[in-house]
Amino acid sequence: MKTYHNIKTLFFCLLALPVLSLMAQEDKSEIINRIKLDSNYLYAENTMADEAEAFSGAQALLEMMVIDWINCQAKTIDTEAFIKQAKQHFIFVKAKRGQYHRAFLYVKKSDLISIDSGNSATIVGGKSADALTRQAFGKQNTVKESVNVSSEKPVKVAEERKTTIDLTTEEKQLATITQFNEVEERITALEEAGKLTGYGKKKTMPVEGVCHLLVYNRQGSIVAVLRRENNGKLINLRALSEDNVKNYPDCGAIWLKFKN
Amino acid sequence: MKRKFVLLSLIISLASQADNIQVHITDVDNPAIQAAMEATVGVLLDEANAAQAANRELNMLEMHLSDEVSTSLSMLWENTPFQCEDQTLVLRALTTSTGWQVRNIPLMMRPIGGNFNEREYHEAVIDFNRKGHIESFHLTIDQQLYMQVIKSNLEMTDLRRRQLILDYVERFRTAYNEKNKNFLEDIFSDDALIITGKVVSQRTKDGIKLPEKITYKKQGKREYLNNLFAIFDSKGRIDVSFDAIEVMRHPAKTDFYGVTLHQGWSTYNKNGTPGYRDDGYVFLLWDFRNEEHPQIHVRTWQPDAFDQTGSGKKTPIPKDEVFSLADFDFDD
Repeated sequence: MKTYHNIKTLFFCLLALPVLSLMAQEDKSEIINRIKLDSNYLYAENTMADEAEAFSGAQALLEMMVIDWINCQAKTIDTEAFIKQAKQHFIFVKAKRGQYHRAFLYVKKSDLISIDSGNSATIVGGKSADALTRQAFGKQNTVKESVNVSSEKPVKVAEERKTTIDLTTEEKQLATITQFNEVEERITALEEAGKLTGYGKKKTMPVEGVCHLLVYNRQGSIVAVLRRENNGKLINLRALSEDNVKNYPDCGAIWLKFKN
Repeated sequence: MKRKFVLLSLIISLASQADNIQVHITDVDNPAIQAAMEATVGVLLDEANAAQAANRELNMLEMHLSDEVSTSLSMLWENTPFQCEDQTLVLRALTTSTGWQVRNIPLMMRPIGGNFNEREYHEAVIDFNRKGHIESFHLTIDQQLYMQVIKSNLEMTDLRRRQLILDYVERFRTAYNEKNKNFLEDIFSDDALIITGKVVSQRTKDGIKLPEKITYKKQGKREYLNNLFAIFDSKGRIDVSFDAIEVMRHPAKTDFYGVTLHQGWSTYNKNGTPGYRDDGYVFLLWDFRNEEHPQIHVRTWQPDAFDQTGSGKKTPIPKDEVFSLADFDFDD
């Protein structure tokens, strides 16, 4: 009787598994569709066989959409500098389409409007694009942004049931690295800015404390950017959800530790 | 309680497969037309999924499509049936001068017999007129090539123009595959210059093989299309594919673009046996001054490899010999 009960339970679990995994994927699709239906956001997506290519393509599309949109707001900008600021507000949702990787990036329009370097006005009304001159930028805005997409809308989304995951400005920048050959430059820049206490290969990673991991595959693509919390939990900074190193077999990783 | 939970799981699992695709289209200023467009896309994709599952032809009676769109869909289906695996689609409509365009419709291509040599995932684009009726349905160019151009450093060319260029390149390719004579008549300007390269073998009087050379023949639009349509009429299937693309914008005439493609061309006889096949570079000079009616002013073709040393071995054509924007001067 007990054996029958255990088999029945096991069968039930096996039956439920496809439904559960389908629901997890549907949660992300729900989030994506809600963002698409919300006119307060700009978005772009790209589906490719390679995850890093999907991400870089979506990012390129969103950058172009941001430029088109901000130009339509009758504002003149230094495009390169503006995009550099705007990318800090990009939020990434990773999903799948069959065996393909679906990268969805979005940004709140109000975040784009509010981009301001502090010392210099980057958004100037009334001038023609031809009259624009390059302007220096002051300190970067370090205000933490909530990534909960439902914070201002009454409509429920799947993320409301989870803990809000906040990313620092540095983490948002880390999440945009797609290729291994970008890593050295980024780490050097962080080191020179005095933001790191250390970095190295995964086997030298400190056993305690908050650390970040850049996970790369054999092809040199950065397939994940993770934050190890104090409790040992790993957070995927692109998907904004919990992750596990077991999801990245045959991959290496570089760790880095930020100053508090 | 447990039995009810198992049954509920089963119901959810089965129900999710039976649901019709829910389509939402944003950015249409007329709610009635928006609803009509959503319904049309939903019906089309549901029918594609049902036909693919049942291994049958598409039934387009309920879709009220024009003959041209029906023919185009039939030909596409004949080669590669497709399906949409998304349960809910949210699509953005771009306003055009004739109505709206909806892009990024995700499709999985399901080739018959497994002969499909392109990637499984493709996106479709649908054009609607002001009444919300479908005017055209076509696939975008291969996603990898598409993103290559989207991400390239085409100075000052916005996303919309890049997408337009790529759309027309794909429509151009599809026109050959579908033997769409009307489209080809329309897309080539009346004064279009067509240059076709041909590899010529040479030998000395003693029979010693010399390096091959490429000779070029000039044709006007009429002569080229007459010859092409004769091939259309005599052959069964035409299969044109592109596996590399480069887009260059004219530095001074900003509505003119040079597009270089690496093309594979295959024909099949009416009895299904393979016919002629070649690989080469196609250069197209596109004029987008009228975006609703772009024109090709120049089309060139060259083989991608030939015996350049007389050794009998073909080597790739040097890059500087491939036609490009810089090789042509043109007046307004």
